[in-house]
Amino acid sequence: MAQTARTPVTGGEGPAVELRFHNPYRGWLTGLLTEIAVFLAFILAVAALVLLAAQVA
Amino acid sequence: MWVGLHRRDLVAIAHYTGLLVSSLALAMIIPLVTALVAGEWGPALDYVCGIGVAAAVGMLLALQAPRGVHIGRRDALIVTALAWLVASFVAAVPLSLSGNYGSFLDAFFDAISGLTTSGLTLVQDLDHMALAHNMWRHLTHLIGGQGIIVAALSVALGLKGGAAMSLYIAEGRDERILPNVMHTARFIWFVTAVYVTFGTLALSISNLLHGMELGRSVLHAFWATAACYDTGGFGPQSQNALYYHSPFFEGITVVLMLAGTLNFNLHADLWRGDRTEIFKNLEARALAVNIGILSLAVGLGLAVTGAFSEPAELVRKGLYHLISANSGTGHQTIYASQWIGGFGGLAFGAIILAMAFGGMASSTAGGIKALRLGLIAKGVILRVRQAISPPSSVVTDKYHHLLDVPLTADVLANALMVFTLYTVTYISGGMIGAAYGYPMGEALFESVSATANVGLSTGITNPAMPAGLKLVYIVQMWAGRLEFIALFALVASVVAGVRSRWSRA
Repeated sequence: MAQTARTPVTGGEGPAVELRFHNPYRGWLTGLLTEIAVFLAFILAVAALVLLAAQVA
Repeated sequence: MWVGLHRRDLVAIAHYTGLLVSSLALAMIIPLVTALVAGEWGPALDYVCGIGVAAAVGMLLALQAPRGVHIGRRDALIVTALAWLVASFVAAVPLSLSGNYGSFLDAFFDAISGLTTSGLTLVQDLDHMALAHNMWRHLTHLIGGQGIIVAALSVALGLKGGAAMSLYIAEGRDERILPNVMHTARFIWFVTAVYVTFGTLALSISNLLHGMELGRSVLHAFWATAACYDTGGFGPQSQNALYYHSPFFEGITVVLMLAGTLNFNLHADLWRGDRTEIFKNLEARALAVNIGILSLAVGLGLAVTGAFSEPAELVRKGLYHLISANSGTGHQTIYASQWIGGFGGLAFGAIILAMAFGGMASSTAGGIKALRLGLIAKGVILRVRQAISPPSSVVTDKYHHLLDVPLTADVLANALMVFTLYTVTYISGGMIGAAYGYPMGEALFESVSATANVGLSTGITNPAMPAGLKLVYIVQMWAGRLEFIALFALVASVVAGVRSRWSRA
C-alpha cells in the first residue's frame, strides 16, 4: 500500500507535486535478508583486502 | 544580528526540554523491572529514585508553558542541545547510586557516553555490576542511538505538528521516510526492533553454544545487540568483546555494526524492494571506498608489526577493529595496551582515520560521515575539471543520494564546514590530552574516539584520569553527537542574552 501526499511547491503557488511514499513495512523480511547478504559479501571483500595487504607486506 | 532569548522563548525551551526528559522516567521502568525480577532490591531503589528525579525535573520544566506552545527553529536547536545534557544528568542518577562509580562526574560521563552512543566508560568493578544497572547502561545506547527526539516522538509525549518537525530537524535528522514525522520516527524504531530481535536471537544461540546458561545468554545477547546496532560500545564485562573469544560472536556483531551505520533511508529503500539504491548511492560508495582503502593500510600495518603471526588471526583482529572504528561502535577484542604494541604505526593511524571519518548520515553512527567525504571528493574532481576546461565552458556535476542532486557551492560549503569543525575538535582534544602528559598519538586516538562517538580506548579513559580531561571528553562527546550546530546555537543565544543584559545595565 502506498501513501500519497500532495505538496505545494514554491510556498503554495504553482502546481502541486504528488509524492508517493511506498509502505516500507511490507517487505521487511526480504529487505532484512538482502541487507544481511550485502553485509556478508562486504565483510568477505574487506577480509580479502586485509589478507591481500598482509601477504604483500 | 545576534538575538537574545526572551521570556516566551525560555518557557517554550523549558517546556519541550521537560517533555523530552520525562520520557526517561518511562524508560527507567525497564531496569526497575529487571531489578525486581532478579531480586536486586538495592538497585531497584536506585531506579525508584531515578524515576522520581526524571519525573520531577521533567514535569517542573514542562509545566513552565502550556501544552502545544509554539517553538521556532532556533529554540528547537537549543532544546536539542539542552535535552542531551539534562537527560544525561538524569540518567546518571541511578548509576551514581550503584556504587560502581567514583563520583557523580564519572556516572555523568558514562550516561552521556551511553546516550551519545560513544562507549567510553569510567565504571569500576564492571564484572560485578548489578543486572539492572547493566540494563540501563545498554538502554541508554538504544535511546540515544535513535535520538532522544525520535524516542520521545515514538511515545507521543505531547510533541505534535510543527514542534515535532522543528525538534526532529534540530536533532540533525533529515529522513522523510514517511509523510508524517511521527510515522518516520516509528519506522526508525521498527527497523531497530527487527535488528534487535535478530541480533538477540543469533547472539543467544552463539552464547548457548559456548556454554553460557540461558538467562545470561539472552541478557548478554540483548546488551551486545543494543551496543553494536546502535554503534555504542558498552559491554557487560570489563574485557568488552574480548570476553567472548568467539568468531561467531564477532561475525554477528560486525553485521549489526554495519546495519547500525546504514542510513535509515537506505533501510527503507531496501525494505520497499529497491535493491539498486545501495549500489548507486554516493554515501554507500564513499563508505565502501573508505573502508576498502583503510583495510589495505590495516593489513599492511599489522603485517609489519608481526603482532599476529597467524593470517586468520590478523584478518580477524584487523577486520573487527576497522569496522568497529568506522561504524563508531567501539567494541574491541584486544587489550588497550595492544593498540600501541600490536597495531603499531600504520594500522593505528588507519584506525584513527576510520574513527574520524565515521559511518553514514541519518544512522546511529558518528564522525564526519561518508556522505560529506563523498561530496568533498566530488568537489575536488569538479574543481580540477573546471581548471582544465576552456574558460568559456560551464562545468557542473551532480551526485546521487536517494535522488539526483546538483553539486552546488552551498552543499560543498556545508560539507567542508562540518569536516573542518570535526578536524579542529579532534586535534584540539588531542593537544589537551598531550598537555595532561599523555603521548600525542594516544591522546589523539582518545580525542577522535570521544568526538566521533566511537569508544575505542588506548587506556587513557579510566576512573583515575584528571577531572579536567573527563570534562573535555564529555564536551567532545556532546558536541560530536550534535554535529556542533545545536551546541553553537545554545552558546550564541546565551552570549547574546548576557550581552543584552550587560548593555541594559
